[in-house]
Amino acid sequence: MAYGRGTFDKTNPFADEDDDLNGQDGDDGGWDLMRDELATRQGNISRSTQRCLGAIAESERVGVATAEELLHQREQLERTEKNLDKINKDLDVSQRHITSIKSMWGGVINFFKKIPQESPPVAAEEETKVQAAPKLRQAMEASQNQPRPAGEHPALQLRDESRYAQGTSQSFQKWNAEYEDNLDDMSTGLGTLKSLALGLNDEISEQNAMLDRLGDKTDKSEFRIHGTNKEMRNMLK
Amino acid sequence: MPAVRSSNGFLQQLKATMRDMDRTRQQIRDEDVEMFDRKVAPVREEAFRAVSEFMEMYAEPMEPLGDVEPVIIPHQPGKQGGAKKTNRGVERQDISPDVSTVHLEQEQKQLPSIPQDQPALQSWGNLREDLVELNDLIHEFSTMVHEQGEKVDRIQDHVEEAHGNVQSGVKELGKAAKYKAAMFPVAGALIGGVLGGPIGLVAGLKIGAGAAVGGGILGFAGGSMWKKRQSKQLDIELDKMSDRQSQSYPDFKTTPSGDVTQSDTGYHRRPSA
Repeated sequence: MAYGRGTFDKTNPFADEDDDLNGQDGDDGGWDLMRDELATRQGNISRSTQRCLGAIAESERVGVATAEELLHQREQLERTEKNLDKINKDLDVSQRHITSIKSMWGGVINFFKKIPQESPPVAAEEETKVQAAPKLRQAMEASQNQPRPAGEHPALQLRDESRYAQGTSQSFQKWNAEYEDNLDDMSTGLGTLKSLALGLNDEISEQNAMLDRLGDKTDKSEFRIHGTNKEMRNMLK
Repeated sequence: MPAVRSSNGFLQQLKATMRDMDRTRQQIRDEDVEMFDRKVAPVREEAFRAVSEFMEMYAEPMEPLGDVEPVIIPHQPGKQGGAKKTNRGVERQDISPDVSTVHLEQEQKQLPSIPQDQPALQSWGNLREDLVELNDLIHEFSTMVHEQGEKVDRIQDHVEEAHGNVQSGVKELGKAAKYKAAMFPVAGALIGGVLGGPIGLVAGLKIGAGAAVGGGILGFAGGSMWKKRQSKQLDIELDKMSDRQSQSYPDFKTTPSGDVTQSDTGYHRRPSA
């Protein structure tokens, strides 16, 4: 039942671990106990911090993955919108054809109606695409560029609790430094998470607007297609 | 408590001596241990007894630690009031564990506890809860995005297919319109023929009639002229003949129309009828 490995120096509670037989203060047992309790608490705190750091890092990772998926879906939605626009244009052309087929004077009528133009300014679209979701991309980049603690993922780093039980000032200072570092990491991690969350929020809002537009365009297209089909069927009778 | 303090010094010395003994004990050879113990044991026993008695005597007053700073702030070098000093945790690493247990109990009473920093603890707890909640939220978000991703995929595929269909549909319509348009020249020809035929017929009739009439008139006129010419020649010849027969008669002639003119060149007769 040894409580500690060294005496408890009066002036420095975490004196050297060498057996100090200066016969000084004999409070070893009590202080040993306290030291142990302290060590336990240190260990607890460290483990807790590590877990928090791990949670933050994992949240960040998941957030970035989600952001990438969202960006991919955005591209899909944009492609869908382009397709719908093309469908509408094609329906315009088909309407022209139908009027020309339907009646003798259709050709004459068409002569006066405008020709559906192909008008996409492709270059301008490319530009806007690069700038799409800038906030989200920024946050993603920031997260990916963040310097990770060299070596393992913070959640995987095991801390040897016995380290802290040595009761030396150096070990304690080391622990303290680590603790502060961990807190700093947590703070930066949370900052990144926040910008990630903001970016995700913006992205989702924009995509919601896009989806509304898509819904409207789809309804319109569907209505026109049905009408066109009916007209054609009438013509063929 | 000065008395205690001075006894502290004694106690410390005692303790140091006992430790020395222990150390020496560990350093001697095994075979000598027994002998050592035999020699040392009684003295040790007495020392222990004395110390424990002392401890029991002075254990209680040492309990109140109000004057001792309870906070063990790691940065600061140890704060022990004098009161603590009487907690003698005598180290015995191998022998006499019972003494240490006695001391242990006493120490436990008198140890200051590492204080609870309530606000910090609370904020730490809140932080932990928030982080866990955040993590859950993010996971849920990710799952939802993933599910919806499949729907978006299907949407994209459907619309693309629809676009393809509409495109081919429009192409077919275009072809139909072209065929319809190709009909126009034929239709035009037919119409032209159908319309122009009767018109031409009517027009032709009219023109034919006109031509006939005109031709008739022309013929008549031409014939008339011929006839006149013939007549004139005949007359000239007649005149010549009558000139040889009667040169004594004055040249005059009367015609039934009554108009007679005399002239050098001949007779001018107003054409009759």
